[in-house]
Amino acid sequence: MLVESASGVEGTPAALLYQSCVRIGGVSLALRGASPREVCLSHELESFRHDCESPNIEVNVKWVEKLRFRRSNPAFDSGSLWTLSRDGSLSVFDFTSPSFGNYPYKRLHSDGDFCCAQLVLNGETLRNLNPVFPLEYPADELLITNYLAGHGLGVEVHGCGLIDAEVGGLLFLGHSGAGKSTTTKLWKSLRNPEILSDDRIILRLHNGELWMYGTPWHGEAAFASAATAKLSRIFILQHGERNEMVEMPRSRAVGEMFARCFPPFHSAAGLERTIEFLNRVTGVVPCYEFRFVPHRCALQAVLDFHDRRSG
Amino acid sequence: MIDENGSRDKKGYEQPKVIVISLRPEEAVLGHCKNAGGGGPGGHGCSHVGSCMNQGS
Repeated sequence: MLVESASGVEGTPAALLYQSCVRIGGVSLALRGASPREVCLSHELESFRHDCESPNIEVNVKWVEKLRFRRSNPAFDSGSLWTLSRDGSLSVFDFTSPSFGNYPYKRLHSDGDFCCAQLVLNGETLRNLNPVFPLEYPADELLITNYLAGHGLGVEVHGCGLIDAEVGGLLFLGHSGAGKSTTTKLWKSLRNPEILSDDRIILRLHNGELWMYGTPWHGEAAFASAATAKLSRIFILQHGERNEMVEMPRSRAVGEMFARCFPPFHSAAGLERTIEFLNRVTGVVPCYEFRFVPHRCALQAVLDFHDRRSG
Repeated sequence: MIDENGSRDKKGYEQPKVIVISLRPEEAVLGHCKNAGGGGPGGHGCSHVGSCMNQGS
């Protein structure tokens, strides 16, 4: 029997003997279920598997015969894979897919702090699938990013991050089409750095330093690593006629970074904490608009810039 | 900044400016697929379970 906890999300029943843990962006998440099938991790998440004795987020998995949409109006509609509704203090995410018709294939109930959640799988649509990855995107990303934003601990940004053996951590933010994949491929082919992600990076502050974390949610070049690196600056990619870096005023840097992050639009408090976090980031490292040409000379421009700043 | 005569440099007045920063809500909301073909974020989601109809981030 499942135990009702104070948060309203069902707590860990004794029958949930199996557990998989991941650590993404410094946030540990434990997935618990009654069988190995319920704690199966996708290929992307396997690289982020980690021991976690005291996880930040606990997610229990259970099956139901059928899931139907809730009667309440959605508080937020993502426009694609999920909708959010409220049940008291709980956030309830319904995940849908054209492959499975009109009903949710899974539902995530989370407490207000995103520390405790229950993932309900729809037997009608998923029972015959093997394997099933309960934490499959975007549920994993929603849990981690909402936890970070809700606690003011960090933010996920749209960018490629890499660790160059000589220069160290480099982060290039950009909208789709700004040149993230091109930049990643250029660096990979010419310098063979460790690529943390070619699309999504988590930023956190530790002891007055800015650190970036790789994520499993990669881009078209499919680079994903659980590594982390300290950052001394942030570049925002823009296509240009020539390579040049222009430092941004802090206020603009906050705005430009906000436009390239994944904030919880459904939460006023989460949005406020995201902007506060970005403001703190701009107090720690400078932010540059990097107008670049898609050529190896852009890489050299970054190296030269680093040398000038370090020298 | 204090110069050699001990007087503080005054920064010239700059009129406040309105800066337009373009948001792309279709990219900023989690859940969109990177590629229609199923790669990238939601690779499994697109091809296996959570098929995306929209391209985004």
